[in-house]
Amino acid sequence: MQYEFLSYFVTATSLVFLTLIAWFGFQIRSNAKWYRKARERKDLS
Amino acid sequence: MFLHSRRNQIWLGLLILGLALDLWIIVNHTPMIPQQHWAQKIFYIHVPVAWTAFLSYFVVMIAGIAYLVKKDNRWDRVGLAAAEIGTVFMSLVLVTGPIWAKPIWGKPWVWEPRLTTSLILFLIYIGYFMLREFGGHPERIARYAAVLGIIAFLDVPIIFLSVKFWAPEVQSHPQVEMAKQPTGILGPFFYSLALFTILYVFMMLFRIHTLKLKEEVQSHAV
Repeated sequence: MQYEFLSYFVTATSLVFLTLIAWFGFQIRSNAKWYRKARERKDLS
Repeated sequence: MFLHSRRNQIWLGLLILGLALDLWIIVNHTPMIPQQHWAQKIFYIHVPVAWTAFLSYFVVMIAGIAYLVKKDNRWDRVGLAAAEIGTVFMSLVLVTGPIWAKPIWGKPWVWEPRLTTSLILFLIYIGYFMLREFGGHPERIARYAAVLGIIAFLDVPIIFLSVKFWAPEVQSHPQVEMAKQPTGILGPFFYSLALFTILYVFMMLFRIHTLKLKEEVQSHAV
């Protein structure tokens, strides 16, 4: 059967790519947060 | 910010294109293996993800040794970034493996050597993050984390060689020999492997950049 086990492949691949997207999402947010704080500190000094 | 740099934006764009191409090649240009069908194609992702996890834990070990020798916080940041990214990839290994195993073995998990030693490595790193969180003084945390990172890596060669260490009766894991693979597998496989390695380097640079910013802000806040 040509599509046998296709759902397993789709599930595994989606999980990997969604995890990577989530990781980058968190990193962009975290990077922006600390960058903002670093700038605030420079503005104060 | 890390992604404000033109160079990093280009690298991220290339990585996204590379991953899309990887997926396209896996779906359209890899042979369908009898009995396993689409489930086998999980390996083009699963094995590079596992490789990246082990590479990352190797970096944790190297950073641990460098920190203990030089007492330089930069190495502590490298170790922490590698431990975090390695554990993200290790979790993906432990999830994608059982997804493959369910249709092929009939059950998602078997307590056989490679799976068990992989789970142990993951649990060691859960301990590593608990130590990072609750270990007390930052200098002591860095020192203990460096030692734990070095000891934890001892499990990686055990995982790698587990299919040979233990008796064949207790093995369920496929004992793959690259040279015996059908043609058409190796090209896409090595492309995927190289791509995940480049992705790992990019993720490391991104995380180290953020950790450095965080440390600078916190050191001035005290």
